[in-house]
Amino acid sequence: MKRSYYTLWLPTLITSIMVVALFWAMHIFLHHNLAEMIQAHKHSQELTKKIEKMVSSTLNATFLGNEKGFLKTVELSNQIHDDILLIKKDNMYDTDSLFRSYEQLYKKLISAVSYTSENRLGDAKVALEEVESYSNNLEMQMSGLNNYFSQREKEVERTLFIIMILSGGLLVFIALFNGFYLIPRQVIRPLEEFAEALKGSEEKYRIVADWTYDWEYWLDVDKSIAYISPSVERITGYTPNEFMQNPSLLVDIIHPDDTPNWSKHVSEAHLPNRPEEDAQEVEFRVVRKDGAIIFVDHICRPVYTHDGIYMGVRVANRDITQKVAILDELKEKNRLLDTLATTDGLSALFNRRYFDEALIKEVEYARRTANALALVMCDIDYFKLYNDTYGHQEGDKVIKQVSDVLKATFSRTIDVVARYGGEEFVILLQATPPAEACKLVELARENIVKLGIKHKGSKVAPFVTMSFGVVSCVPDVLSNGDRLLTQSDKALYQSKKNGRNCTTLLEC
Amino acid sequence: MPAMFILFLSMLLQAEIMPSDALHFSGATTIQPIIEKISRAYFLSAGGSLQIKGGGSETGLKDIANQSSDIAMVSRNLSDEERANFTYMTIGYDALAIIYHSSQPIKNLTKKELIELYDGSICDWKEIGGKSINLIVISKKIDRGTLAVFEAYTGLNSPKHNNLLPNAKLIRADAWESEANINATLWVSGLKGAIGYVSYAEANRYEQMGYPIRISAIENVHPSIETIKNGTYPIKRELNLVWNKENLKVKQFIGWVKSGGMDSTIAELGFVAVER
Repeated sequence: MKRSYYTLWLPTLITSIMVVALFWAMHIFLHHNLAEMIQAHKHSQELTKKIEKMVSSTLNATFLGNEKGFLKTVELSNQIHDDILLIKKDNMYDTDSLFRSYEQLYKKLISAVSYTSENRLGDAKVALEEVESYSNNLEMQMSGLNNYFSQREKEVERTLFIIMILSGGLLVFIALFNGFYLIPRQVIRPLEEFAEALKGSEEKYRIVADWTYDWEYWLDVDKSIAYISPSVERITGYTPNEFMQNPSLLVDIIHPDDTPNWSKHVSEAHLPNRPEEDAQEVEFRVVRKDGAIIFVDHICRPVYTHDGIYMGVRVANRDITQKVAILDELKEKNRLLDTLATTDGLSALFNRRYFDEALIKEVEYARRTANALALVMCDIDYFKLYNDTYGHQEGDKVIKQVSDVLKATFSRTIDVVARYGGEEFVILLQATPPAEACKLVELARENIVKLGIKHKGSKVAPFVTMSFGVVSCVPDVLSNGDRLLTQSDKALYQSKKNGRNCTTLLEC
Repeated sequence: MPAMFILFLSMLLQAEIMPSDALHFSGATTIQPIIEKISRAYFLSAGGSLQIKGGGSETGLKDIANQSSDIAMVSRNLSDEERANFTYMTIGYDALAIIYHSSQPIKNLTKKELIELYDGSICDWKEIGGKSINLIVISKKIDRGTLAVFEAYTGLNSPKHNNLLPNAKLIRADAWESEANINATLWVSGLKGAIGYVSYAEANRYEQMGYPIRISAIENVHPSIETIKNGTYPIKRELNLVWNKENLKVKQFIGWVKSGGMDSTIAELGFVAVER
């Protein structure tokens, strides 16, 4: 707007001044010209009188024979001389012939004087007649000159009048042009457009601000609230008006447990002289008007004008309650997923995948600590027949019961009891030498027997029994997990061969 | 224009009266005031009446030759022929004064500048360092003694002479030809561009009266009684009274002059009287 203001007014002003100055200068010039003309005209009119006067005073002095009387002649002649020069100097009128005529007149007049002084009266008479003819001639020229001046004066006056009208007209035109065209077009309309645009952009800004989903507000330098978005009501239950009337509500609704966090943030972030791009973030809980607790993510940054004046703090609070809830759920699900990955669904023992990983780790651990690691492999005797006799559902129940017994028997937290597949189980016992392992396994075998689950198809006993293969050693380079598995499998096979429901110990 | 006045004056001037027993003078207007001035004294002391006319030195000489006048006033040196033919008496000396309007700041003219001013080489005063104005050259009619003195000094000749040599240097043809001393003086004082030459005594007298004329120095010598007497001012001339040997009418007057009756008047009018 600034630029357009100057680009409009400066040329107009300069043009007006130039027009006025130009016409004023012309006016002065012509007026001066006119004054000179009038002066010259006056001279020319006086000249006629002076010439008459000069001639009469000369004749008078001649008549009286008074030499000093001719001083008057000389004085007047000099004045006439000067007057003609003045007319010549100030005007375009050619006064040369006027000059010559006057000189001739004077020449003859003085000749007459001279003849008279020498008493040559006849010659004097002739000379005087010539003076008369010259004076008539001069008179004609003078009237021509006077006419010329009158005409020129009229011309100049007319020109002056036209110039006055023109300059006045031009100034009126400039004024009208500015008033009715230039100013409305260059100033008023842009101003209106600008005002409209401003109003529009303000509305737009407010619409944008009011429609923000987040709870936004602007804390002024004096900590009053300059703006608070209507979304605050959705998030906190309090209306923007309630906050405007009581700015301390902003702090009051913060959950007491989070107040220290908030105070810390305010003392660090709500300060002037921080860089504008330095956004500070804090999370806290808010107690809604209805008592519900919600989680809020607070981001703030300082506000400055273009000139760098601190204008307070701009805040965006986001309701992250839902996000927090989802995160909690996700954590739970992950834990579940973890369990599912390592656990056998039917027996609730570790699954084979977990066992395979554990075996490698336990072997390494045992080797490092030089402790005996026991590996027990076992299965339910004639379980296929049990399934055939009682059905799979009943089979599953047996597996469950057996698993519970095994779990209960090998109850140390470091013991790994896993379902290896079908009715097969494996057990890893850390720091368990062979004798101790055998003792524990026998205890488990007896506990299974004690369950007394009927098994008509079994060729060993009328109830469910299990066969066990045990290896136990301090692992060395050769005795890795596979080796232990192979050996325990061999031991289990031996137990089956020995008539089942028994335990076989093999060396690694 | 005062036409009636002119007519009236003309009528008055025509009423010319000339008494026959008077002693008639004609010639140089330079000498004219001397004679006019002594006429009253002469009438009172000697009882004679003097009738005086101007017309110039040559006119005066012509007049005594055809006996229309008794004494010629000749304001120049006489030729040998004239000295032989007439009786004469040198009553004093005069100088030729070069005059121009007093508004001209120039004080001195060289002989060369004077010649250039008169032969038409110069048309404006600024060409010799003066105030710019058109030059009007004022000379004298050929029957004037003053012209002869001017011609003798400058070597220029009036174009009006009949017997001019083919290679003669001339005064410019448009020069105004004045008659009596008052004529040149009024022209010069009334017209700012004019230059003229007149009797020094006359010029001095008019200057004293307040006429706006300047008497120029020539070759840095200003004319005065002293410079005329000691001959340093270059344009000097005799003032002569000339008459016919056989005219006895003049005898009484000449006697009166010789007795010194005119000397004080000559000095009074600014001429150099003859030392007796």
